[in-house]
Amino acid sequence: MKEKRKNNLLIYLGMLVLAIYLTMPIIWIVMMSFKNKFDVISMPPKIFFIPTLDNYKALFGLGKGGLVAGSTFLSYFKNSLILSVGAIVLALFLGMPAAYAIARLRFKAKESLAFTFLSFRFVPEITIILPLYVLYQRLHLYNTYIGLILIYQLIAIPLMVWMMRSYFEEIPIAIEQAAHTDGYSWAGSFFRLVLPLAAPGVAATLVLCFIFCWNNFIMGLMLGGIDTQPVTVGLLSFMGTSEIQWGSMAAATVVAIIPEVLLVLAVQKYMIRGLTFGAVK
Amino acid sequence: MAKVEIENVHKNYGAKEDAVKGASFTCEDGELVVLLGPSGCGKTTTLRMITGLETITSGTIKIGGKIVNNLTPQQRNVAMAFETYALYPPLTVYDNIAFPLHVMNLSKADVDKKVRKVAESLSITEILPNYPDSLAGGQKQRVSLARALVREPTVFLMDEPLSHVDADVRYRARAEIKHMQATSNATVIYVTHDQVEAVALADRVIVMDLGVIQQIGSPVELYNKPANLFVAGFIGEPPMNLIPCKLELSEGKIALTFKGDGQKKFSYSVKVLPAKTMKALQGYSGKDVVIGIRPQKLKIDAASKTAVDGSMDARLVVHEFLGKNGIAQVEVDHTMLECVTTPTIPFAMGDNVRIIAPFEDLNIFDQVTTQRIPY
Repeated sequence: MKEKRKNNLLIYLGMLVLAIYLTMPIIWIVMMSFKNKFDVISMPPKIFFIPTLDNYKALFGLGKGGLVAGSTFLSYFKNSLILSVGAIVLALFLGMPAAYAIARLRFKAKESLAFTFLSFRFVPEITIILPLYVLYQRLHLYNTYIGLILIYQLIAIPLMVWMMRSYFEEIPIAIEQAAHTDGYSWAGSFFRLVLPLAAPGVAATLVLCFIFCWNNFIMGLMLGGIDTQPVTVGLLSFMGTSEIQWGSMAAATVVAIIPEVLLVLAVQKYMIRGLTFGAVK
Repeated sequence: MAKVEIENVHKNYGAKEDAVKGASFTCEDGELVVLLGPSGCGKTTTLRMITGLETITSGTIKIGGKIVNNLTPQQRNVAMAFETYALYPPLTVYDNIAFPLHVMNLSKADVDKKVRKVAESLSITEILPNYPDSLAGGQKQRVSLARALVREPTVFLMDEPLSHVDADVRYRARAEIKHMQATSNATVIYVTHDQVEAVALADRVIVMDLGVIQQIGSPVELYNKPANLFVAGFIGEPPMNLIPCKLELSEGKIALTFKGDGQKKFSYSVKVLPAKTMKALQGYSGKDVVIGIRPQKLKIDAASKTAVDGSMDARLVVHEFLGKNGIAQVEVDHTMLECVTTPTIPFAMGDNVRIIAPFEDLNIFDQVTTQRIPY
């Protein structure tokens, strides 16, 4: 008994260390965002300091402000929302039917097709970004929301297809066949039975797609202009030629991860399954 | 309800061999037909082709005299009970049963009336507000039957509906299905791999193996006159004793000699046998055959009794007491035979005994074609 308790204690201790290790960057950034510009660069770093809201005020254009006008940050944030939401909505309409077809139908080259979707993720984005840049210039997709939403499909579609496929495959096919014999069409059984059953999976997949799109940097940097670049690119603007505004950058980062944190907390339960889908299969 | 006719139906999934090779049978209006066979024999595929969940490679399927080959399941108006019940988890039992009615554009009051009526007949009224996840196997089974029944379909198709029901309720559930079929005079095609279930339920049984229909007949016919070695071995509990023998006709006698040292044989005097039988067996004289005798028909007796037609010396190896009867394993010429006996027998293990196989209880099969020799 005592032995067991000792073991548990060790496990909890280990988990605590791991948790601190993993969350340290976030804790650090949060701390930075409340420091004034002298504390932020002080050496050795200060653990205890007098917190200030100046960085946040500057971010939203309140108070005295820094070099970067607050409205610029908000427009980056808005761009990120438009791009990420647009990308996952498009991925939902394109990827979910594909995932359903791959999960349920028998057709030639099915696995090759599924593999092709996955292969979108094989090539590092940096290697394809230059030809894409030229292409986008010619097609007038450069610096447009549509252009970026389209290229975000490279990130969202493979995830959508492969995750949703595994969720669909877990729903017994007999349920759909029963609905068909009961007189329901494909659409009828899909929307009345399959979708409610797959809903948690859909939610988890959408959140994961959202996070990957939200966090993307290189696409926005290269294929978007000042009007369409997401917040990840926007953070760069805190690095001026004369100074780096560490505090404001930290505050901007904290604000930028808030949507992700909220979404993950909302669907945490299903996320774990989504993330491990590869291992389960 | 309606009559179902299957004519020369093939199913190919893209492999070299067809999964179903030319199945033909008829299920009369109000008849309960069971498709029986081991897993992979094509019985479920056949059922799903009738439902419309699988396409037909060639052949025709008629329901109520109308060809339905290219109709969707809903156009065929058939109902299917699934092996896994296939209840809709997000819906209550009530909504599960009402589900097929929603596509029919019935009024709310009509739907309610129908659901309650069918629920009452299957005594599931009290679980109507529950969700499928909270039900026991037997209850799920009844809900799935109710959902199929509520539509008043032309044909009722059941795919191993009892294989996931607990053993103790299976017997009752089987009786309920039979009762439901008899009272509603439904046309039912029922798929199972359990020969006990098949024999208990069926008006007629269709035995399938390797995609081919082996025999169609009433349970009694299958039991007493199996068409071939497969059916003989598949139907009956314990399975039929099947013994390779050499058949010899000589001097008014029929001898069936065991394959061992050539000494052990069942022999019968011909006098008592009808001429028809003799004629049928004539061609097999001197040839290898397989004889089959049910353990229930093989008698066991004391070795000291005088030999009669079809008697042979044997050694008792094991005897098991099973309550209302017993099972003896006897050894003849290195061949083990099973024999259903009275609960206890006056012999000890290792004793020499005499077994008797009456000629009228023998089935003789052609060893090459495995078909039963008709006589």
